[in-house]
Amino acid sequence: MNDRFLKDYSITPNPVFAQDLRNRLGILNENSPRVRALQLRPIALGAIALLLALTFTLAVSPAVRAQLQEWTGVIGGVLFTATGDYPGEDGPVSIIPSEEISLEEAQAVLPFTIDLPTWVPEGYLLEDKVSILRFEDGVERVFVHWSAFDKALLELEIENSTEPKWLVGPESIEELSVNGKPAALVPGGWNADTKQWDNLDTLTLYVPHKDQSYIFVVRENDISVDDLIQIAESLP
Amino acid sequence: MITQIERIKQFLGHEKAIHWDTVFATELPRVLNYFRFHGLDTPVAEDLTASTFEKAWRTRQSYQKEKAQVSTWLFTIAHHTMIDYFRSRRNELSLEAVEDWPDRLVGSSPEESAQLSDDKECLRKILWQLPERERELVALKYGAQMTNRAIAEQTGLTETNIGTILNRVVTILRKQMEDRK
Repeated sequence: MNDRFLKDYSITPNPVFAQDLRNRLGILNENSPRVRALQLRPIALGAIALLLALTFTLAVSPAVRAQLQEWTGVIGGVLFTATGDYPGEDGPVSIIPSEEISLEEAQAVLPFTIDLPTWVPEGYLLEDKVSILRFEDGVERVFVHWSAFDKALLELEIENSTEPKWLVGPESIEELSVNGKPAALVPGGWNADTKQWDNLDTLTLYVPHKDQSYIFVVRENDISVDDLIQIAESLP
Repeated sequence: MITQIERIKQFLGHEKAIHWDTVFATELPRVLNYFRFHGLDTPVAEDLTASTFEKAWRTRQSYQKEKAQVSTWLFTIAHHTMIDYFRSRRNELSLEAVEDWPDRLVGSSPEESAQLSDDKECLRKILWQLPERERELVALKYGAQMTNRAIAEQTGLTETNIGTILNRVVTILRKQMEDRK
């Protein structure tokens, strides 16, 4: 079928038109904070809840802690508690609103440096906004994201807690080395539907960096453990 | 109680997110040419392309990855934009002679037409006069550069049917082009 005359009819978009439309979509983006907030808020809520759950479990209720705790250890300066149950079910929850600002603005207001990996897998682009949580005890946490078409977000959480502690599933934690320093790899997380720790296809890598905890969260099918380590090792 | 869990579940939910830079770069030429292959001149095609992307942007939260690829979703919006465009001009169309439609309705001034090659302007007018279904298939095939399989998913027609129709339409188009020269 001779259809060359049809194929030749296609044109390349006028760069001025393309740029103008891109700008208009960018304006729409800036005018849609509600949508943006809905995307990021659950992450913030989860982070808050986790911290409260840890407080409840490890500090407020030592009896419960003793009963449920299966393993506690420190890896890379982070206190991990591996447990087969989730003890924070009845604990108190308060909601702290997250603050969404640009990376530059975050860097200006936070008392610690936000170091970003110099390498991420091909196709991932740094998102414009970061999300900040400020806790009453002075702990601050910033969430940075990279997005890629048809893939889950690559998330970096940076926490400035002097006593970082996390709850993980039983026998889920693996100690490994990032740039010669101990780090913790945790597959999966708590599944609210099944009420148990599941694989969930996620990988979380806890890496001490300078005086902060750097926590990378990725989907296992998108980013391998080797690439995850390479990302962490590219921190300046 | 919300736990780490919820954070992970919501994190997984982000896979539905569309990376707009990539979508914009890859789909903009396809959407623009989709409209041009409906016989519209470039300024009108640009307007409808912009409208399509703006609608997609505003409704991006409703996009469900598990139901359709982003390009399928985008071209569904483009198709509805096209329908709205033609519907809004239905009354105008009914008053005019067929041969006058393209120049009168798609905004081609004599100056604009003069800038186009004679062949391309001729092809645009022929495309404009195609029946709606045939024009849609040509636009999806050559404008959106879809495979017959993707067109089948988009239109509900069978691949065989699409191949047969396109083969016949291209033959007619080529003959009409030759006759008009």
